[in-house]
Amino acid sequence: MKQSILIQQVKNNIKAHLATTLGGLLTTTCAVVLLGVFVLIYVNLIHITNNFFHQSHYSVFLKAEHLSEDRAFVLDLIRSIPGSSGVKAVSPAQSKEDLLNSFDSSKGVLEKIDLKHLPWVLDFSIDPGFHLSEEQVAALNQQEAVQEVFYGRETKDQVDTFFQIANFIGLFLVALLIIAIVYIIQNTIMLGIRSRAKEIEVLNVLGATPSFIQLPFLIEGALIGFCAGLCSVGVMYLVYRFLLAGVTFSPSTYGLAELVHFFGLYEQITAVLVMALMGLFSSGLATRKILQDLKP
Amino acid sequence: MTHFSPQIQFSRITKSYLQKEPVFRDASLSIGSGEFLYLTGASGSGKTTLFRLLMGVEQADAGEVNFEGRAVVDLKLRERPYHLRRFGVVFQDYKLLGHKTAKENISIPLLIKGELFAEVSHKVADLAERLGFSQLLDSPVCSMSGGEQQLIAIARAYIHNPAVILADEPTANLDSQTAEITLEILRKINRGGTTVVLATHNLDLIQRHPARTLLIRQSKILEVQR
Repeated sequence: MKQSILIQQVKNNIKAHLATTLGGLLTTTCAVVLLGVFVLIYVNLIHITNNFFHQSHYSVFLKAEHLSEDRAFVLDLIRSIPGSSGVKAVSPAQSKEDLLNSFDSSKGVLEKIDLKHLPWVLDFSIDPGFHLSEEQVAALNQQEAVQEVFYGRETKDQVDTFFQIANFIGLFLVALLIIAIVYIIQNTIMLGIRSRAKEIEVLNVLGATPSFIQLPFLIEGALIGFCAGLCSVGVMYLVYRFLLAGVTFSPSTYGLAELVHFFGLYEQITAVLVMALMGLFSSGLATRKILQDLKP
Repeated sequence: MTHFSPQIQFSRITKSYLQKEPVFRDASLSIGSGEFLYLTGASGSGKTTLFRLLMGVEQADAGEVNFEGRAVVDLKLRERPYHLRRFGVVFQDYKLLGHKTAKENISIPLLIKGELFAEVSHKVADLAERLGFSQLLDSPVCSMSGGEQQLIAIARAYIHNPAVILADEPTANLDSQTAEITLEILRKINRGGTTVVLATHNLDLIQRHPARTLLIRQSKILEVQR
């Protein structure tokens, strides 16, 4: 029954400053959506990048003029590397065809360009658990027929550096948005408390315990956080579907659709609960600060 | 003359605000359990301060305030709300919540105590019937006259059966007829065993309904001889 009094108090609080509560809920939702979309894009970007590098594709470009025996020798050398798989030799003609196919819309323009100088390429992959050592790359490079071994180390290093910087900026942005959310909820509750200052003064003087006065505001804060969490998950899902539609619309990015994913159910539940806890924490800060001033 | 066991004791209290002349200097008083007494003095003489000291809302600079044998200053922070519940306070400005109904206002002390809704409703209805204002229960307080609001304020002060009722100028804003009714209600409450301390500077009222009277003058609490 004490619970019913508490629920009644929470209802009264929200009713007394409904516009403020709704305003706070809306602003918090916007901030959480911003935070969520940022995290969603970031997580997917990492996932796609990892997926790309995890496949460990390598290409050995051969010189324009080389002997077919030398090419066969290099192929054997590649096959002898532990973990190597999918070894195939791509002729200049095949390379040209692949290139034209991958630029579907610009095919007409590319066909007019003289592509006869395309080299022979030996493609292969290294299975997970194995890696291509610097010595093995050097051994390949030393072969007479080999022009260059392209194994993406430089690109991976660049991407790693990019992610290191993005991590730093990302953490800063996440911290900033979390602080903003805490402040928004705190201020919403503060406005609510101020609008009920007279009532709190009366309750204080009639012998209400601090918990009797604080609890409804704490619950209101948690409710704002919880509802903002729920609403923002819904809004983020719509944003995700919209972006996904954009990705699948273009043939060049169609393949990404399989790699892009939304937050899992447990992640969504955790996010909503974390938001409720943040609401509780923010309203705790607000009540502690203001109720001190309203002591009789 | 009736003898009362001391319930409230002020021993050599000194209280001052900032650099001003002390409100109390070495002032003492004793109020017995179940007593009805008037507290009088000029405006700003310290009647409200005396109430606040007793409720533990303010601390004396020197001396000791005792309530039911315990020094108020010794109360722990968590005990203060329970100490406040021993009092029913009728404020000069009523301190009612205007947007709420009379019933909601009167219910507050019981809800604070954690009583059940059904029980609260029953007690409020019963008290309203005894004090004769049942028809006002569902009306918002802001639509009531000063006299009616005073009645609601007294009911709210009394609903949780406090040990002491502190009434701060309850008749100040009322006409003489309503003031008489208010005083009669407080007398009735007192006859039930509740101590009533009534702060007033309405000397006519004191003369018409004599009782023990304390006068606050020049930072002292003096007993007025009848």
